[in-house]
Amino acid sequence: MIKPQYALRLAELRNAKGLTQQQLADLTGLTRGRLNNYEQGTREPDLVTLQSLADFFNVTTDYLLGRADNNAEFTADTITKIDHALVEDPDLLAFWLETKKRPDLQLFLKQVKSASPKAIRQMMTIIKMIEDEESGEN
Amino acid sequence: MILRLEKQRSASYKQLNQKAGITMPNYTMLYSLFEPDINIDEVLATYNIRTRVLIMDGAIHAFVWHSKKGRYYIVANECLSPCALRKVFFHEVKHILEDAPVIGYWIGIDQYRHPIEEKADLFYEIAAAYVTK
Repeated sequence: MIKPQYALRLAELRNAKGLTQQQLADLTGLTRGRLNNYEQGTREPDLVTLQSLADFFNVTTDYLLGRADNNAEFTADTITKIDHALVEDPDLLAFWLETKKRPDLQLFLKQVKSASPKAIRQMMTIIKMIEDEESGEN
Repeated sequence: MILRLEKQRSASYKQLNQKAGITMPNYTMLYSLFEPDINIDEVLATYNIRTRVLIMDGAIHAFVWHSKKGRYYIVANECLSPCALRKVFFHEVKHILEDAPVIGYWIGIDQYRHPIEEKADLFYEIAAAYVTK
């Protein structure tokens, strides 16, 4: 069975916040069983629930329904995580603070689990090396 | 026999495509990538794609970076087996061909459960079925 977009988005947003279904249920006033049904796609959230979940995650209802890819708030959390990971390396942090302003910035990752600060620093070192190499070209 | 095999491949392509929701335009590049004697780096360079294989943290299998000069760099983890490397490579090619042109500003850290990641995981099989259908 192919899950509907809202089911995937809900699970994705909950995981991004590091919450269990029970924790999200406690925070939103829903039952764990109901949340599980939404994430499995076996039950559709009503309008009020959809709005409250969107508000909780700071996303639009369109995003939650999979009708938009504008996940600016979601990305903001990611940027903060990178900022924190690079704090102990001033050179890398300075590079990143400048790079993240680029409107055409695109970084796709194939991960198997959450990236640790060390992994982020390592990746950013490689990215900086690539950019330095390019800058050195004629 | 050959006709039956081709029909089976075509059917599997359709099923996979339906499952992934991926539209597969006529990418000449995909045919090249499945050629046994082709120099992959040369093919990719014509599409402005460069590759690197480096030792990285185990949580990261690969990433794609869109550089300031507009190139796409596929950086893969040296620790992966050749088979895993190939799948990861196609995963990243999918991002470059299909996601990058439409997604805009994107930082994919910790978004490994995002639908675009799940679709990219299916791309190798879809591409293989596509070029042999």
